[in-house]
Amino acid sequence: MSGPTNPDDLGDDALDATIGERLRAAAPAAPDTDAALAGLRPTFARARRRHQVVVAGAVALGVVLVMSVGALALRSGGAGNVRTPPATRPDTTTTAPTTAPTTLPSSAATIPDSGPGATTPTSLDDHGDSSGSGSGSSGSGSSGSGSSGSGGGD
Amino acid sequence: MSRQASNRESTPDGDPRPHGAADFDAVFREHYERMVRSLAVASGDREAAADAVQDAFTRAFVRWRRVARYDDPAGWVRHVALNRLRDHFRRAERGRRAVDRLSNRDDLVVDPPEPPDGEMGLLAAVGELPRQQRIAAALFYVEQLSVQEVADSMKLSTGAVKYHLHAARAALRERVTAP
Repeated sequence: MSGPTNPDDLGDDALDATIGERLRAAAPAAPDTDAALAGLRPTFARARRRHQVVVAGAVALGVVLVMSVGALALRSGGAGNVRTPPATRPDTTTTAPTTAPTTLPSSAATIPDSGPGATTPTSLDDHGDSSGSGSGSSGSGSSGSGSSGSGGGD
Repeated sequence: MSRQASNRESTPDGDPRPHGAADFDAVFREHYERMVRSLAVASGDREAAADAVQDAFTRAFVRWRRVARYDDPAGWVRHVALNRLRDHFRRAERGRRAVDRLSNRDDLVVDPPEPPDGEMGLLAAVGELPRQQRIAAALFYVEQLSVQEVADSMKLSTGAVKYHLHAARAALRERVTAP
């Protein structure tokens, strides 16, 4: 940036030069740089210490936070397990043994021989008729009173 | 065009600063005075300008390992100082509004100051510019930064800086050309 060559013809460059020169001449003087630097040394040291303290505190806080979360996770992962039952009950009625027993158990000997077509309930749910299952005491509730009475006793 | 040499001094032996990092003291010595002078013109308050620049250098000192790796560490310092100065502008503006409210009272009569002349008149003319024009003019004319450096410091585009400088130049032309 050079000064104006012709004061009567101030183009942008010349005008810039004139404004710059006059503004720099009018600008307030700054304090001596070396004195300012020496005066700022204690401020710099204090600021650095403060910054280090803040950083160290933030790191310590982060470590404590991570350890706390870890401890909580370990504690909840031990004895505090929740055991959930299976969604479906095991179907014991459908798992029949492949080889039928050749001899009936002794209790089965009391079961009266039913005629062809008669069904023997294998579980309470198979009755369909709720009155039949508990009719052992009445005896005369249904035609199959004998078998239902023994079924209720199982 | 860069009108100031960026400092890339080698680090002293044993200094943990990374290779190629600028030396803090060298950057301070090279830029402190010009920054204070230009921001004093921009703010009209030398003490506020010195405070802003000193605060910016203090922040730079604390983070110097990182700041020294920047392409222009002095530009970072200047940007921080400008932010501090904007805070000063806001406080001053609030104070001015309070004075205006008081001056509207009938029992208070405030004589308008006489317009200064000469170089002080030019400074006063700069002080009457809008804030962005004032800062752009101060950085361009007093600190002698390039348009690109002014744009980087003010976080503006070069086009916006040129616009502000054009407006400031037009406003200051009368003061400069007046006999």
